[in-house]
Amino acid sequence: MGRFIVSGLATGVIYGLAGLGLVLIYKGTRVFNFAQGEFGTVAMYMLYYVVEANDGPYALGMLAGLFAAVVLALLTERLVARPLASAPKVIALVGTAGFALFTIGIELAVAKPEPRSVAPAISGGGVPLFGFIVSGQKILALVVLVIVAVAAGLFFQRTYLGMGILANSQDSVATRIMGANANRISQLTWGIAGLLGGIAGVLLAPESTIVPGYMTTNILIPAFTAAVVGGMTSLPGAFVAGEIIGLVEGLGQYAITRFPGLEVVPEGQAVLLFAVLIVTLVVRPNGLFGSEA
Amino acid sequence: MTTAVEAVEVTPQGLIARRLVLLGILAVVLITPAVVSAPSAGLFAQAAVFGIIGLSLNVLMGYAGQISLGHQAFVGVGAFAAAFMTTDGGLPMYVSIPLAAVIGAVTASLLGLVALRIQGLYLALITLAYGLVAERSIFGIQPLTGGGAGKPAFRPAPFESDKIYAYLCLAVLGVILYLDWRMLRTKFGRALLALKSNEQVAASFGMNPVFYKVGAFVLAGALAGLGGGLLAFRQTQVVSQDFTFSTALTYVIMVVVGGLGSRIGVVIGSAFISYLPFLLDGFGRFLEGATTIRPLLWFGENLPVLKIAISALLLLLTITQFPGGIAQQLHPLTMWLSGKPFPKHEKAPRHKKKSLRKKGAFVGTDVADPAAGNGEHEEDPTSSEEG
Repeated sequence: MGRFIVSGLATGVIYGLAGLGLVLIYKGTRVFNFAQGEFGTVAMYMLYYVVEANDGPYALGMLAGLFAAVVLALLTERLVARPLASAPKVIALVGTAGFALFTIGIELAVAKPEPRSVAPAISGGGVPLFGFIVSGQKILALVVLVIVAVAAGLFFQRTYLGMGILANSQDSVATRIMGANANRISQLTWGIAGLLGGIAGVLLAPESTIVPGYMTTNILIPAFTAAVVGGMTSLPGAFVAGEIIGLVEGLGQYAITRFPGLEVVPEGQAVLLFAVLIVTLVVRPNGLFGSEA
Repeated sequence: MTTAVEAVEVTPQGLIARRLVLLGILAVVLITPAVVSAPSAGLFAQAAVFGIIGLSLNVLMGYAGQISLGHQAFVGVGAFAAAFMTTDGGLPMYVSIPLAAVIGAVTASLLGLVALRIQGLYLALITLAYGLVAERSIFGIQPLTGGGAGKPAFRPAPFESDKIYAYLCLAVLGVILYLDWRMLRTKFGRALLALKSNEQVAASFGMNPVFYKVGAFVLAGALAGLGGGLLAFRQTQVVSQDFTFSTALTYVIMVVVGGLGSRIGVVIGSAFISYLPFLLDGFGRFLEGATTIRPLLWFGENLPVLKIAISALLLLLTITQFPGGIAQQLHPLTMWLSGKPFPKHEKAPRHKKKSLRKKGAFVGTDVADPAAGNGEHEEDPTSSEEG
């Protein structure tokens, strides 16, 4: 059981990072960003092309991945979010989903549907815990998550840029009257969300078989569930809820191994997550930490 | 909206010309499956089925102003149910397809009762998650769906021919189009449109929003189940890989590119998206023979793979540049066919668009319904949807 808890918590780190990007964009622009997953997939592919296909240094691969994710996020902002700023939010959502599909289509054409894999950033360095070796990669992910959490907290509370983003999400007109450039703030919000998606992708890449649309099909829904459980507007909430979702999934896997009858339904965790999402939205739409719906 | 043009009388000759053109279009549609080859008739049947699925999603997105990013789940449930009932249950096809519609309605009502307490964006999330659950878990249950190998669904005697099956699909599409048109004129249909334009006002006139939204969900589920049943027998083998996230988005693309709320636009859009892989294939082969320029050759070679990117691009272009979709482009023609003068292009549409842009509203919701002719679901263009 211990090892399911540990692996669940490790997966939760990724959900938290991706969920944080979703919360950030929702706070800043009131848009549900269905393209968040693809920011990560593109980062995975860049890492693959630099490290595996061209034998480049790992650090360069990671940087290239993050760069690609940020560029993709800025493109989403310019081509979809900004033109649809005054359209109904549901249409903006369809726009981001369409952009995700467009990216998946390009990935299919350029990278082909064959699965790819990437070596871990840290080979070995595992720590045994509950009779289960936690890989160096997982520990790295956890360390990065803590750093990102602290950095995000400081950024939003201590810097003008961070406070500008929060102010813009509360009252865009007043923020512009105060002299802030709304377009810049929007770009900054999307850029940071892209960076977070990219970090999630780069950290997850060694533990996945990369195929086009990987993050959208595997991470987007748990990340959204984390964001919703965390309250959709709460940055720490997204982290905590990401861990909760990871834990629920891990325990679900444990239950499947204990009760083999459950294996009739493949991928039972998906059903479990769906139940968590529905129950949260019906019982507590504001989530655990949300102050507004 | 159509104020000045309505005063103009249409001459008897003009009326005859309109009837003739309409009959011509109908005749072409009706004759096509009979004269083309069997595989082309199969494509035609698929286009008709996609039309039904498009109309199903249009009930939600176009009329009720809701969204479903998991519509492939409803279609898939219908398809697997029909295949299961015929292959394992021994029911004849003409029983299992209507039953698939019933099952689609039941599953939609179950999800709808929970999900429609939840508004707008969260509904998109719930339906997306439901679609993923269906794709991964429900459609993977070996005894019901045959797991990865899929479930066969063979057609009985008279429908073995692709041509006859294409006529069956076309007939069903025709019936659904008629029912859709009548439905919008009932109390239920008008209530849906009223709720979409302004939920608070509609509710204050005594309409129960949850009742009508669940009703729209059930109706959409029934149509999707029906489409799924027809799709199962068209493909003769139902596999879960056909019902993924990109399928759900393809359905959204059909409706949005066709024109939200316009049934003719949606059917044209659906047929177009259904034919798109075939068209791209042909264009790719044409490029292969016609050019030696490297990037163009690469483009041609990858066209079948690029179909996802291309249809997504169509969606993005539609929502950002031409929110009314195909229906908006065809508006002058459909106006003319329904017995009004051909509207002058400079006046009505462009002015309308500009004023809406300024108010920041979305034009796609108020494309006049071409089949109804008199634009019965005109609505306040300034109203914006629930966020």
